[in-house]
Amino acid sequence: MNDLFRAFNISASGMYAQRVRMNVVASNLANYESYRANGEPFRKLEVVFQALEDPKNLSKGEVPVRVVEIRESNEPFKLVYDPTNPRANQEGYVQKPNVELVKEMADMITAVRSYEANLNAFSATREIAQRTLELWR
Amino acid sequence: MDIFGGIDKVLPHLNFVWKRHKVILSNIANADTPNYRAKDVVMEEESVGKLKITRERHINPKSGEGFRVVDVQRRLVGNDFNNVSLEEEMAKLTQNRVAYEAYMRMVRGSVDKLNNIIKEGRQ
Amino acid sequence: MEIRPINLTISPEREKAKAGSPGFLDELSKFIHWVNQEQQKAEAIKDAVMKGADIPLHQMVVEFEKAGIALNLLIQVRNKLVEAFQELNRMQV
Repeated sequence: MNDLFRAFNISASGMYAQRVRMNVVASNLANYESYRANGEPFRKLEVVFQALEDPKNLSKGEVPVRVVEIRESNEPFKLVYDPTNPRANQEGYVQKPNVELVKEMADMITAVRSYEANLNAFSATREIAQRTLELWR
Repeated sequence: MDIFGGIDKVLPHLNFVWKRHKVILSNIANADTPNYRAKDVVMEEESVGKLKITRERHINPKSGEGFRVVDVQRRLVGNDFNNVSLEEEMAKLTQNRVAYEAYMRMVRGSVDKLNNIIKEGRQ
Repeated sequence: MEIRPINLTISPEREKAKAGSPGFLDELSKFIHWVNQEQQKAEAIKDAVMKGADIPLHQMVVEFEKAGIALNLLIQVRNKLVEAFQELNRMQV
């Protein structure tokens, strides 16, 4: 029955990965205007996914997904012209966190959709298992 | 004793559909994984002439099962080289489910028929 | 009128045919053997599954059903044999 459980695990790994992604987006949105104690803007977080694609898994057709890490983005900070802002530099620009609202919202929507797709797939696997066991009257 | 001929014929199809199901699960789980290529299961003879599947990874060349897992060549959807189309995978998921059910019912039919014949309708 | 004795010996052709063709008991024992094999296959799969082997659920279920059918067949054949035996017993010689 390990075979069946591994099938459930594939979808579960997908759901987990998307949940992590949702949390990260939520953090990024929450810190849209945040700064560190040293005055540095908040660096947005990114999730790194990895497909567990080794030959053994592939021959069985099972490729779960793994969250490798949550890391800070290396994208440059936003620069906004705002000379009146206490954080402004000499040219009058303020560094802002490298969080793009639109991109984060798009990510959130994709994450939710993928999560639901995985949940759907999980249900399908369960239905298959139930139908199979029905053969046993 | 060949009374199980009908059932044994369906078994390879069940194997195929189940493996395909797992591959579809994998595609859905990795819909957002960078560099992941969508996969599918093809029958061994079919995979030679199919237009869609041009680049194959010989993942298990001699599986002895009559089918194997291959990468699918498809239009790239995202710029992270991931080519999983969630809609297509969901559609395949449903199709596959139905196929599985159909094969299961064939087996069920054979089993019931055999039991009926053996018990001659009694008990 | 001459009374000729009835020739009860079996002709050579029939004798050969009888030796070559499988007898009823032969068939029966082959059949029981087969049922036993099906049972053993099911047991083997059950053991393998409990040890955590990689057998898909549908395969396990199908093998179990096959073993069950084989057993049913054996039971019914036995019933028929018992019936036949009882009927033979009832016959008045």
